Amino acid sequence: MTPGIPGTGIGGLFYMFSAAALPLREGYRRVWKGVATARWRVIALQQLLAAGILGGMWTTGWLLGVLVGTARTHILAGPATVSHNVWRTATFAISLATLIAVVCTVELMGLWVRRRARRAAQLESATQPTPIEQAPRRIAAAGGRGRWLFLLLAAELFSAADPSQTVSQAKSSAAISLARAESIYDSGDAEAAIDAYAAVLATDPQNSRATYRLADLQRHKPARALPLFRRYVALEPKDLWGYLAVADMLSRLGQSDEALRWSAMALRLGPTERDAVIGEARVLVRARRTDRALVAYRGWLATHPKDAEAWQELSRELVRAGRPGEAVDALQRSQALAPDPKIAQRLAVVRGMAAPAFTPLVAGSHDSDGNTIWRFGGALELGAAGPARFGVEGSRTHVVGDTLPSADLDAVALRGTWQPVARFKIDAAAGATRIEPIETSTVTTPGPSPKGPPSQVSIRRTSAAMIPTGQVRARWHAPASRLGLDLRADRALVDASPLLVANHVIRTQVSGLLAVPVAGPLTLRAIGKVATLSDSLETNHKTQASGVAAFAVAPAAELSVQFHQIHYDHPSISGYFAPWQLQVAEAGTYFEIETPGSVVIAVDGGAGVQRVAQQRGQFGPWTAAFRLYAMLDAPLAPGRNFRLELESEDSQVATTAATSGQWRYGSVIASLRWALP
Amino acid sequence: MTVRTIQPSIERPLHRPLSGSDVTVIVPAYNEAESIASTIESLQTQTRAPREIIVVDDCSSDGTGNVARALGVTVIRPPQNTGSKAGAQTFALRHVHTALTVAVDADTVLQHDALERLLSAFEKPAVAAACGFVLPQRVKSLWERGRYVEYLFAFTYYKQVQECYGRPLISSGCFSMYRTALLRVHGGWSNRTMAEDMDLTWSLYQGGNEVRFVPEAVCYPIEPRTFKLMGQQLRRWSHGFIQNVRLHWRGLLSVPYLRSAVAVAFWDATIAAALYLVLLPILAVVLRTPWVLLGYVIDAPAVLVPVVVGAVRRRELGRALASVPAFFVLRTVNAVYFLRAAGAEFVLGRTLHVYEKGH
Repeated sequence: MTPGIPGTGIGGLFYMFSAAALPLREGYRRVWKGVATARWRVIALQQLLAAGILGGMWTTGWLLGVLVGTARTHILAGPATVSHNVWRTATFAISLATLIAVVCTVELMGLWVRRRARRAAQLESATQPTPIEQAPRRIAAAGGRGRWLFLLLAAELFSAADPSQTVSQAKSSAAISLARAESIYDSGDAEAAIDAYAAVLATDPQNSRATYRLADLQRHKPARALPLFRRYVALEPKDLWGYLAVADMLSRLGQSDEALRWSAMALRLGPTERDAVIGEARVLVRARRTDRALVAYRGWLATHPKDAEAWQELSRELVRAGRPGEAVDALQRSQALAPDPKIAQRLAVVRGMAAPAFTPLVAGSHDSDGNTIWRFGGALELGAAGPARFGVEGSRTHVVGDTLPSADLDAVALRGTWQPVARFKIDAAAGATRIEPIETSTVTTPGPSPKGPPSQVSIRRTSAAMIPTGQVRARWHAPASRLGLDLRADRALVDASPLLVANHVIRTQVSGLLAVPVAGPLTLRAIGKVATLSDSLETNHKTQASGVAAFAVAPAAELSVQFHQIHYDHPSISGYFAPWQLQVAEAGTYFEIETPGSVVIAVDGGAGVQRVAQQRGQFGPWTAAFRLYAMLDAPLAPGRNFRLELESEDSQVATTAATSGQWRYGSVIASLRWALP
Repeated sequence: MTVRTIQPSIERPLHRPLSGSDVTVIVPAYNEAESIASTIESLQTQTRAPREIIVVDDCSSDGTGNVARALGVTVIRPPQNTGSKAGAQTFALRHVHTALTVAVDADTVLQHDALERLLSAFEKPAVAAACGFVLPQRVKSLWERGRYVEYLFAFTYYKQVQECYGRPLISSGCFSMYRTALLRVHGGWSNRTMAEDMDLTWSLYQGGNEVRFVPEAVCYPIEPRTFKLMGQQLRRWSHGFIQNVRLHWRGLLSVPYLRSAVAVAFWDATIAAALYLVLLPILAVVLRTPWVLLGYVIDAPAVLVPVVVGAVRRRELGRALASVPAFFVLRTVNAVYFLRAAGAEFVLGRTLHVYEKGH
């Protein structure tokens, strides 16, 4: 429906002036009120239309002048007494005067109605007189009838859609609704309160209190609460709690950088305000920026050492940063300030992590070539001290196989860990492995292929030997990112069979893993390994290149596709499987589950296909490949953790060295970490 | 152990990304068997398909309900004819379980993304209603052509300016989206006037709510083909406008810009219409020349500007230019009906109560 006479009448003039005033109004609202109500492209188009219509109106006036002039000259046979310009001007003036009269009448009526409503409200609430609005006074004070009318028109254009000009009935209705909502909120009925505050906003969309409450009640649904909190910030730009709430919601939604930007804005508004400082620290925690979070907590606690909650949160981050000793201190400070049974329980757990501990271990494995390994040992950790931790470990291994009766070896090593910051960690171990004497003989071992001929292997070393071993590993990961680097170098005795032990096959390997987040949850990993396998008979080289595309489906779960290629320089007669090329393609998964009782279950598995090319030969057919690693870690009591690890392989990739081309393997390790008092 | 689950209210205010599942479409229909299939199909093929389409078969006698049912939508039928489009729509409102409700006329076809376009307006919590660009589905007869140019003019120019000021005059009844909760607060669509869409829009403004015009959301209703049908529609609309001004004038005085827009429209619909219809013939008689009657089309240059701009954007310039003469005919007839309605409602006190279906 288009009421009126579209095109003609004062409607055309009214909308032309409205369009002409749009840029001024938009600029005023953007600059002074900080709101944008119209798009500039739309405004520009309306400006062009208004200009075109103005031209059309000029043409209309000209045509009217011509029409009337023609009528007077030719029809009434008299001379044209007035010029065309006069007709044009008269037509425009009459239309404009009519428009001004209509608009001013409406404005005056509006003033009258509002004044009556205000008086009625004042009478109604005599004890709380309503402040008199200032706008009419300012208009009257401008003086002069012409200016007064102009200002009325300008006020009309500029006040349109201004929330502050909405009807008083709506305001009072909103006030009643708000009181009702507050009452429901106080009663603790969150569901009903949500509906009640939403009803307030339906009548008074600018009500900041209802906006905040409605958002706050839906904090557990960040996607819903976020736009409301943003709206609250627009309504109350000086309230730092609005910024903090937005930051909180953004960090829950995983938008870490944006969350940090908002928390920084809150901090600028209240640099000494606890909620701003701690709020920023919490955003950093959620963004996994542990080191910056530690700085924030420590900065706050330096000036506010009696904040028990901050001490608790600091201790949690210290644990995450690998500093349980300092975490114990922080929790003790918290307990001293505000004793809490739950914190006491947490303190006992962290003490167990920081305390010296003994970990006895028993392991067993068996492979398809008939090799069985039993290992008994233990590790002793010293107490955690700052970023470093030291310990010693030792074990006795008994290897039984088809080719030789058995081999025994004893290993001992000193171990140390240094984690100066949360994102960087170095592990190192240095020790030796002693090989017990083994009887001399020539043995027959399975060949590389089940259909191929067996290999004749001579064992030359019979005396006891001491092999130096060691390992260095450095890990780094970028804060709040999956970007990471893992470099490792190690020297170890290959003990997969008695034959390998007897031949003193030593593997010296350097490996690296680079993880690069590509887009969203997708991460690419490149793995490279270079190893030298040496014994008294030969020296062989092994290289491995792997590519992994991992898709994170949850914070602690991922799916992946992997491709591995392994190459040996030449075949071996020392008892390990050394094909020229080995390729494995598989789909894998990794996930961790932590139960409410802190039992952790981790699974890393893969299944796919593999193919082997013998030295300088062609690849054989694709065959199935499979690997699985599962770990269960269960806290028995504070400081006592039982761990069970299972491993099974039908693949040549995941192991240090296979003993034949058709090698399957299974192992189990059980250990108990016992913190010493 | 018992597990307590809480079923969230699906009508809770929307503070999350909106989708078609938040929308129920109400299609009031009385003897619309010919056109309703196209309407339903256009709704079912929307880029944001609504959760439910409810056709209110207002006791049709031409099998409208069967046609709708065959297309797999929900069909409800009141015990007796509700007497108006507003009545049928309000009857269906109790069956709506989504946060947003769309009203679509049974002879209106939507552009494929019209619902999606309107949904975007509701991301702002204060928005209570939104409407789109209206263009006739068929442009053949004189009256359809006249209406085509009228819509091109009004939706390219008037309504865009109103939107810039946050005060579209009407959320068009043929295709509009509303917040269901607010519809219920207002008791649905009232039949106290002949223009329920205008009544609801102005009520929403007075409640402090916002109404939006989304020009990208286009709908195509079937406009009256004949003078008889056009007359029925214009009678209903003109009386509806006058009735709404009488009903809401006091409340509208508190709504900036809208009060001026309505006052100007009222002036043009009454005083200007009288001058337009009476002054030019009198001048023609007094001056003894029919050339004076050219005054009825003398503003053609001004009218053509928005029409040409709107038509060029739609690549329908030829159709628009060919239809311009029909606009001046329709505008004159329009003025006659508005003047009659003003006289009947204000002078004679004859209020129109009976909803006469046209298009």
